Amino acid sequence: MNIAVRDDLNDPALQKFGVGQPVARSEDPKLVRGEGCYTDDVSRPGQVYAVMVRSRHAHGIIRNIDTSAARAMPGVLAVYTGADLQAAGYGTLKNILPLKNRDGTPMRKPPRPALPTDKVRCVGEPVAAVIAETLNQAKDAAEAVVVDIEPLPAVIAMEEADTPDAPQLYEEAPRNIAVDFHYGDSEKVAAAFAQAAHVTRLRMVNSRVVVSAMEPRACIAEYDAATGRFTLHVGCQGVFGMKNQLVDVLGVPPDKVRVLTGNVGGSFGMKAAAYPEYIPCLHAARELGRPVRWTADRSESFLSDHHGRDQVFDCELALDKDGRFLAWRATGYANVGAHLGNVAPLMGTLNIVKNMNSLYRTPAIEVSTKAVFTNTVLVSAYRGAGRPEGNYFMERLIDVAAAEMGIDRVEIRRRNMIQPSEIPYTSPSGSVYDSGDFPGVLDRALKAADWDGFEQRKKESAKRGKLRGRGLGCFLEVTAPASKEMGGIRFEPDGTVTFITGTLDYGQGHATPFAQVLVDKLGIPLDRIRLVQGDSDQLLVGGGTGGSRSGQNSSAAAVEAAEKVIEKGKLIASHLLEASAADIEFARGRFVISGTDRSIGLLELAEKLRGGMNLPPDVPSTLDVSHVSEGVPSTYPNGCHIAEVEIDPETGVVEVVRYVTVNDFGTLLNPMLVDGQLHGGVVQGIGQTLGEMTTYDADGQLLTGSYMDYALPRASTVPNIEVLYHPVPATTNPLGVKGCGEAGCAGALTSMMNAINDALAEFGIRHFDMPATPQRVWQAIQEAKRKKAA
Amino acid sequence: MKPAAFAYAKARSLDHAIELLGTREGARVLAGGQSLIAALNMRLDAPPLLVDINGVSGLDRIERPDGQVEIGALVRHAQALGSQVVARDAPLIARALPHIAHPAIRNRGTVGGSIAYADPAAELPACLLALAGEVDITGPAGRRTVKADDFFLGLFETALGPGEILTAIRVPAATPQMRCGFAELARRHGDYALVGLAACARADGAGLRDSRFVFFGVGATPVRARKAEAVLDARGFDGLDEAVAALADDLHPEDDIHASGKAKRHLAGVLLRRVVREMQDPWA
Repeated sequence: MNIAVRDDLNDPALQKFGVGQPVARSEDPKLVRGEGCYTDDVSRPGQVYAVMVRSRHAHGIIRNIDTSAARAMPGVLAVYTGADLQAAGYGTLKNILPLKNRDGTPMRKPPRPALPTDKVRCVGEPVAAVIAETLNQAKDAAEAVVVDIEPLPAVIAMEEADTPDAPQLYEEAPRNIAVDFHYGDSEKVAAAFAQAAHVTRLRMVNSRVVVSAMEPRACIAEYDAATGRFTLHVGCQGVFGMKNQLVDVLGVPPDKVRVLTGNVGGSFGMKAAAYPEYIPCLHAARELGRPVRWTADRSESFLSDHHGRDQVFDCELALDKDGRFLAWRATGYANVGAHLGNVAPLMGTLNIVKNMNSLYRTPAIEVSTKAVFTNTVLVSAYRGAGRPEGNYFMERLIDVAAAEMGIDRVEIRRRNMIQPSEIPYTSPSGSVYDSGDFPGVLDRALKAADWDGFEQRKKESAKRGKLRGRGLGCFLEVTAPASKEMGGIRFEPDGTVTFITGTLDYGQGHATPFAQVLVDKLGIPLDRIRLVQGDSDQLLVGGGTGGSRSGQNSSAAAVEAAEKVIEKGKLIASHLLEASAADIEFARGRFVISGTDRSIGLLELAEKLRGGMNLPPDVPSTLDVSHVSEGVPSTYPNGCHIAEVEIDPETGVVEVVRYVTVNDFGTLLNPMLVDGQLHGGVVQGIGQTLGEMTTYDADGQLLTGSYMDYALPRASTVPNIEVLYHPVPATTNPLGVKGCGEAGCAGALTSMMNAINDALAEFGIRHFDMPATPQRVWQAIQEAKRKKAA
Repeated sequence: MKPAAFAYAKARSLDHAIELLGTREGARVLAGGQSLIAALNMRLDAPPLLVDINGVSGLDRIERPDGQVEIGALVRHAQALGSQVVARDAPLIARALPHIAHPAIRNRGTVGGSIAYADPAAELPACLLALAGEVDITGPAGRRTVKADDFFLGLFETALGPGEILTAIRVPAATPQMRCGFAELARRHGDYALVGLAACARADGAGLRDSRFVFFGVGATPVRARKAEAVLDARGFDGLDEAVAALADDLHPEDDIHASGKAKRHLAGVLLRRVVREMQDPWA
C-alpha cells in the first residue's frame, strides 16, 4: 500500500486514526446489535399506514378504479388514485438527463404522474394508495379496491419494442424509443474500420438484475399545517437531491420540504430516485393531518424497485495487423422499462461512451444506443451504472479478438494499454486520465494470481472431470463529474465536532473515513467527531452518493472546510495569545505562536468561544464553517481482476475457485472499508454472472419474483477474494482519492465471463452470454457438441 | 394482515386436534409452518382455520422399534440431523437432511410436515419412497398405516383424508447389506432441487437387488424409475448405461424457469451414474 510520505507518523493518533489507517466503522457496534435506525424503525405519534394497490397487468387502459368498498372497510381513512393526485395539482416525477436524439431533438420524456390516470405500463405499477389506522386494515382494504383495466398486448424484449408492430407504451414515443442516442465521429470510425487488418464483432448481453437491497424501500410522510411544511423520512442516496425532487413534484418552495434519512440498508443506485409511493403518502399526510408510513414488502421490492443493467450491444473492434486497436463501435439497446427513471438511460448511453474505452489507446469510438420503453419494471442505476457494462463489452471483445488473431490475451492488452509516460491522457470521450500505472497493475495481478501456473491447475481440474477457465478483467472507470458538495464543521456545546456533508452513507461507512480526514487535518480525536448527512435542513448543497463520488468529494470538502477552520482559528488564537495572526501556526490540533511554546488547542479554543469571549468585531466569533466545495473532477479508478472457475460439464454448474484483484484507487482513506467495497462489488458481479436471472413471461409477469426463483449468490457461492492495491494518487483532488464503490462490479463481470468463456472454449464456443446458470451452460455445451457432430 | 384472516386453535392432544380439524371445512394443520405460512403470507392459500399441533405431546420422538426407525411427525429437521439413531439406522435420511433449506428452516420445519405437504421437489418424500417406508395417520375414523408407495398421489396431494393427521413415519432400519445413495442438483445449496435422487437397494454379491431409485423435482410426485431399477437389478453395474437410457421411459419432467424438461432428464442420468457408483463402492 502506498500512503503519502508524511512527517507526522510519530503522532500516535495519526498512526491509528489518520488517513490511510484501517479504522473500524464507528456505526458497526450499533448496527450489529440491531440498534440502528432505518426508516421503518422510525415511529411517529398518530401514524397511519399506507398500502399500495398495484397493477397486475403489464399493459392496459385504466377504465375505472372503484375504491368505494375499500373506503367502507374498518379503519380505512382514505384511498387515493391518480385522479386525486391530479386534482391536488402535483407535478410529475422527472428525468434529469439532458440527452438528445441523433437528429438533435430532445429525448422523449413522457409525463409521469406518481399514480397513472391513463394506462398501466408494467406489473407492479402503483395505481392507488390505501391509508388505514393499521397496516392489516390497509392490506385488507387494498384487496377490495377494484381496478378495471382493459388489457393491451405487452412488449418485454428491447429489440421487439423497436419494431413497427410492437405495442406502443406512449403515443409520443414511436417504436417505444425514448432516445436514439449517438456519440462519435462516424466517418472517422468507418475509415478506421476500412483500413483494419482484423475486425472482431460480438453481440453481448448485459443481463437485467433485481437490485435486492437488504432494507426494502420505506417512507414516513408528515405535514405540519401551521408551517405548511412536509417532512419525509426516507432511505435515499442524498437528502438534498431527494428534497429537490420532492419540491419539484409537490410544487412548493424549497423551504417547505425536509428530508430525513437515518441508516440505509443498501441502495446501489436504486434508492436515489423519488419513487411514486412517496407522493400519495405526502398527500395523505397533508389531507389527513397524520403521519403516514409505507414499507415495501419483499414482493413489492421485486416489482417496484428500479432494476439494473439490461443492455444488448453489437460491439466491433478494429485492429491493425499487430493487434493494435484502431477503433471500436457499440450499437445497441438499453431497456428503460415502463417509464424513464431519474437518471435512465445514462447507463447505456453516456456511461458506455465514457467507460468502454477503459485503459486502452483507441483513437476513434462510436456509440449508438436506442433506449426503449418496455412493459417491465424501470431500469436505472445499479452499482456502476454503465461502467461495468462498458468495461465488460470491451474486455470480452479483446479476448475474442486475441483468440481470432492468435495473439496472447495478456500481450494484446499490454500492446494497447496507455503507458504511464502518456499520462495525462485524453480519451476519445474527452476524459483526461490524470494518473495511473496500468501495466504495473496488470503485472502485479498476473503474479498474485499465479497466471503462469494455470495449466497445472487446469490439468488437476481435468482429473476431477472439471473444465477450468481463467479470466482477465482489466477495468477503468470514470467516476461522477464535479458537482458541489458541502463541508460543514460545527463545534458542539458538548465538546464534539460535527462534520456535515451531503453525500450519504447507505452502508459504505462514511462516518469513519471522513472523521479520519479531520483527525488528519485538525488533530481532533476520532471519537469526538460525528457525521451529519441525513437532514436536508442542515445542508446548503449536497451532491449525494452516486458514481463513486463520496470519498473524493466529501474528503475534498472536509479538507477545504478544515482549512477555513484553521484560518478562523488563527485569527481568534492570535487575539487570545496576543500575537500577530501571521505568527500563528497550526499543527496537530494546536495553534502555536511560532518559535514559542505558547499555544492553544483547537478544541480548547472552541470551548473558550462557547464560554463567551470578548472579541473585537474583525475577529470571527465562531470556528464553525459552512463550506460549499465546488467538487472535484472525475477520477479514474482502475485495476485488474483475475477469476478462475471450474465447470462441471455434465451439469453446467460453475464454481469460482480463485479470485484476485489488484486496484488503483489512489490514496485509500481507510483500506479496511475499501476492501469491503471490493468484496461487495465482486460478489454482486459474481451474482450477476452466475445466478441472477430476471425472467419475464411474454405477458409481462415477473417469473423470478422471489428469492426462491431469483438466485442471489450465497456465502457458499463466493470464493476467498484477494484484494491488493497498486495506488497512484489522483492529482485532481486534495488527498489523491479515487472512487472505489463501483469498481468491484466493473472488474468482476469481465473476469468472470472471460473465465467462463475460457473454460467453454474447449467446445468451440466463441461467446457465451451471462448469466451462467447451470441450465444455460449445459445448453450451450449441448449445442456446441451438436454443431461439432453435424 | 399479511395473510388473509384465519382462525387459530392450539390443540392440547391428538384427539383434540382431530376434533378441531372437524370444526371447519378446509382447516389446516400447522406444524413447523415453513411452507404453509409462506403460502398464507403470499395469499396463495387461505384456510379458514389453522390447528396448531406443536403443543401435542408424543409426536417429537425418534424411536427404534424392532427392525425399523420411527420418526414422529413433529421431529424437526435439525433434531433428526443431530440424531444418532437416524445417522446409524436411517443413513439415507441423514444424507438428505443437510440439503433441506437452511438452519433456520431446519430448526422449525418438521419431518411430518415435509411428508404431508408433499412438495414434488422436496427431499424427504423421495427418501420415504426409496426406503419403502410407511406413514401413520390418525383421523376421525381412527388410526391407519399407509405405505409410501400408496401415499403420494399427485401434486401436493396425498392419501391424507379430511380431518386426518400424519403422526409418524417409519422406515426399515439399515442392515449391512443395505446400500443407499443420495444426490441433488439445486441452483444453490438449500434451494429446492432442480433434480434429486434418493436411492436404496440390497447388495447382492457384485450386484444390487430390490433397488428403488426415486427422483424428485421431475414430476408431480417423487417418481420411482422402475425401468432403470429393473435393468440394474438384472444386469448390475454393467447395466448402468442401459439404466440411464431407461430413464427416458421412467421420467417425463416438464420445463420450468430454471431448467428445461430435457435438461432435467439429462441431469437425472448424471445423478443416476453418480449415485450408482457410490452404491457400488460406498467406501470409495
